[in-house]
Amino acid sequence: MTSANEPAPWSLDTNIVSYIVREDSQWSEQYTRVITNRLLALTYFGRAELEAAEWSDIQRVKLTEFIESCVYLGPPSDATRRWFARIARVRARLQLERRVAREDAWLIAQTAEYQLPLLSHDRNAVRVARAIGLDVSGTLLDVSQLERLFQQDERILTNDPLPRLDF
Amino acid sequence: MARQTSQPWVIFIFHGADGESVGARAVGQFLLDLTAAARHIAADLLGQPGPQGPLSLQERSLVEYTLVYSGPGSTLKIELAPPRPEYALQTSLAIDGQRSSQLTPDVVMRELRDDLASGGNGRSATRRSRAIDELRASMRRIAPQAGIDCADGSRRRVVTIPLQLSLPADHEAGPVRRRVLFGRAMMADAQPDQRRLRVTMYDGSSLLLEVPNDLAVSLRDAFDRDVEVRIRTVVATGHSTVESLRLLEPAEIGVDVPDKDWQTLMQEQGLDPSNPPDYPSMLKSLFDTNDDAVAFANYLREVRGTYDVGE
Repeated sequence: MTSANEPAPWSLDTNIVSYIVREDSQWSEQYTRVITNRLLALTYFGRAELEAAEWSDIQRVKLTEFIESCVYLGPPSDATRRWFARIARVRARLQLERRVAREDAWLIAQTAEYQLPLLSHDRNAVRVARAIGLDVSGTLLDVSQLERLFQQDERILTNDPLPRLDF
Repeated sequence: MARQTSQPWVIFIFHGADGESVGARAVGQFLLDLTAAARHIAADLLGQPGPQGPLSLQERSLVEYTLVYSGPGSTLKIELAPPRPEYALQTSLAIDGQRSSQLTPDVVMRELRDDLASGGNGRSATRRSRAIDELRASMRRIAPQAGIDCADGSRRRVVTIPLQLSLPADHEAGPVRRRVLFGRAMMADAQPDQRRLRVTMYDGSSLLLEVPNDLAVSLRDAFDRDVEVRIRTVVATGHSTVESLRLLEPAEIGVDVPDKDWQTLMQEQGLDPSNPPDYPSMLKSLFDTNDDAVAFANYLREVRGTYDVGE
């Protein structure tokens, strides 16, 4: 059923949903293309965000159908906690603590645990995910602007001196 | 399942350039990389996310060989003797399932030969391919050209002429890919003109990396420590260099791979990657009006508290 040639599913940041469904979104058509013909994965945190929104009974049935059609990554584990600590560290080094919410950090952490590509339309979440080594190529954020930020982030992350050790 | 042990079972052949003799200094590292690659292949064939922890008895039966070194000379041969019969028997008893029942050292080595001969595509998409990349780099360090001769379980040679692998010389030109690794930093070797670092990741795989001189001080502090390593890899050659090292905080240290990888979850959940659902239609049917969609966007802004699309 699976093949080595099949791409890994996009780990879906919930914000993509609103960009696809809003009629006034300039990215609806393009993100529709990005998620077509490729599986989506839902983190524990993304699923919780979706389920916690207000839905009618009919909508909730459809939501359940959508959730069950995605690869669900399950509840967080010890490995997720370790990735969260790493994300928190990167976020601090890039001084993005106030711009990347804890919810985003958990979502990125579980995406990193499974080494999935992240599909997000949040610039700072994309920066942190990229800084931890994730594939963020699905985003439709401004590429040239992102590239400048990525280079800036790389300079910060690779110039940090190793802290001195006390023996 | 018993085998004769007098005949070499797998032979790696390293051809020296321009008649120069091939040294055996790098053989130890090569064998470590060979073991790592074989473990990854075995895990892959067993449907496991990857090898973890020390070698299990089951894995040992698949990857432990007796080394016979032939040389020196312009050609260096490393002959691997067949696995001991008792290991082969334990292998067949220890592994359950139809797929697993066919998993023998022969299968693993044939896969390894095929992986090496495929030449790689410059994209280390899986842990297995990363391990193969590392083995290929290790072979390249021994000699610019290398071959592998492999016999199957019935002792017939499946490749009678050493298969020449085209291994491009290292250079720094071309597209570069950056990666971040987490693991234990180990000393590989240190010479005046070259420092190398082995990073053993928490899934058991490892990578040998060249470290530039300006990181030498950091390198000394990092040995035997858990580190974050930022590396740049030349896509065309697979040649990797360390860009930075950072010691990990205690909360960051430990096994960081899930119990089940996403492929396993996908199969368990009955999802078929070759026939993905029509997600756009499903999502659009969730919202009756655009106002509903706007309300959902506002809800997300509230629960996230922050949002930045760069405009």
